[in-house]
Amino acid sequence: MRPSYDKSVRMITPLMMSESRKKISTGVGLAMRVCTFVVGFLLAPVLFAAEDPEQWLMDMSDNSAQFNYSGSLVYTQGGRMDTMRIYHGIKKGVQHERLVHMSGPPREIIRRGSSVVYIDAVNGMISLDGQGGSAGDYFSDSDFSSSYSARFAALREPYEVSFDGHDRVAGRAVALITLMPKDHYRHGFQLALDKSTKLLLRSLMMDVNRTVLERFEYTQIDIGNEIADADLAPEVLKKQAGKPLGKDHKAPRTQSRQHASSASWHVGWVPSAFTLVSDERVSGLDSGHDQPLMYSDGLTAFSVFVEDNANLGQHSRRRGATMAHTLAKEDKKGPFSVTVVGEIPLVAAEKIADSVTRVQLR
Amino acid sequence: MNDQLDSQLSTLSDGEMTELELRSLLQQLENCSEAERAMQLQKWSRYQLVSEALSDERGSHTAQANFATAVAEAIAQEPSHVQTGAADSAGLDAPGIVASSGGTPLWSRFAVAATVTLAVIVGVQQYQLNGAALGSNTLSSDDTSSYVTAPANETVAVQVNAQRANAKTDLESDSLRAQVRLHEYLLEHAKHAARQNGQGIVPFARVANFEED
Repeated sequence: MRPSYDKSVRMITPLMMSESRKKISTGVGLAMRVCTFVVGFLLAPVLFAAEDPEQWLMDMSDNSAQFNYSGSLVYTQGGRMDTMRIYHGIKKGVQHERLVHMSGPPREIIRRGSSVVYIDAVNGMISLDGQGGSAGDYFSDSDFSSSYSARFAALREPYEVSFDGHDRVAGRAVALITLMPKDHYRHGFQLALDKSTKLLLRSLMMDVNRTVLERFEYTQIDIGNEIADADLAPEVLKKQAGKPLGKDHKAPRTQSRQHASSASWHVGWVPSAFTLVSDERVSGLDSGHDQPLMYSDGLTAFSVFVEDNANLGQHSRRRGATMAHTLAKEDKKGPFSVTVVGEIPLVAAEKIADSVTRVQLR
Repeated sequence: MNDQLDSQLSTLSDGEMTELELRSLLQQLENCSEAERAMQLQKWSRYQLVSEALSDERGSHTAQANFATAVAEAIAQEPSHVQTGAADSAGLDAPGIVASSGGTPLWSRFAVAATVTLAVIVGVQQYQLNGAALGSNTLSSDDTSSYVTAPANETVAVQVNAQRANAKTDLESDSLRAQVRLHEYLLEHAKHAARQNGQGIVPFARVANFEED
């Protein structure tokens, strides 16, 4: 699994720190203090470099599932900003999470394990989890964190991964990790991870010019605190005749899934390192035809939707980091429309959409 | 009028509305103010959810959450939407007639109604999947004012006898359809993306933003 030397390196760090502190406490004098400081300062990057950023990302993923925390964060995309409050707690071994919008109309997103619902006053409760329908609706909790280790370890293929200095976010010291794409088909990221817990406190998605397309950033966070049950319970619907969680509505599913078409689709080109991630979960729930095809490179994702026998025109829309590109195509069997949605540049979305063809069934 | 609208919307949600009633409802919707209409459409959306909740456990119903917004937007984009004083309902009863001088051409107001009709049909279809009541969806009328056929979920054909309205309505319906579809895609993608990057539910913040889009 994890290379063990990383652990040992991390063990060494506090030991050396405490030794330098002992030296200070012996009170040799200001010169010695400065000296220690300088040595420590010089040594820090060396020790830092001994740990690889991928390991930090794996820790980030593991720890964000294990710690209790609550805080406030801002989310911006394009020129727009939202403020939110988040609560994350483990109750009886199950991850509970609640994301409450503090600006705009009251709305919140609540997660129990891997079941997620969106709630607002107008639409009520909308289930966001699963592929709908069946009793096997609730995926295992690991759905959110599974196989990240493997994916993060492979990030060096599409990205230049490096430590990028230090900063302060939400009043806490963070290490910056930059992931710059090696091609033009994905965006870059700068992640700020809390030094002591490795929790992700800021995430910037940047285009090729380093223009920030999307930002998640905590402004305040408490880590390791007790999260009250009330903080994890829905609030928006309280005043209305509350329906119990679980009797919620399904989010709209794509029309194409709702009736079995005999068509199936082949995506001829995807940027390197993107792998198909949707199939294993979806198959078994449905016949597998016309399902959205979902790809991920471990950090970012896009989905390909095909609607047979339809002309949805050709257009592209960008919202912050999310691009939606629709292309109407036609072959011997008739028209079909391909829509690529993802946090990827337009050039990639166009190329992907262009490569989609009908699989001829015999 | 509001109470009446309410009960009509409720009837529509229950799938018990006749075509005549539907037309009268559309007419009323057309005649109310911008804000009022948005409110009514939202209300309809809610009725739909309620009606669905009541008849739940019948399997995989699909709620088009933001459907009302999509409809409202489509209407807002209709340039000829400015009301011209007197509530002239002739537009619906006698399509194809164009106001002779000044004012809003009646046919374009008709196009608005047709668009709403289509939207309602699409919406109802989405709620009543599995070939229920509106499965073979033909709402036709003998007085040739308009008919909207939706032979299958896949293809929604709009045929409007008012020829001037025809092209425009097709265009509107396509764009509305594309819009509704895009919303579904974005939501579906956001769900997917949230499971991919190890940030818990934070990426769902994107979903909430699409909802308002």
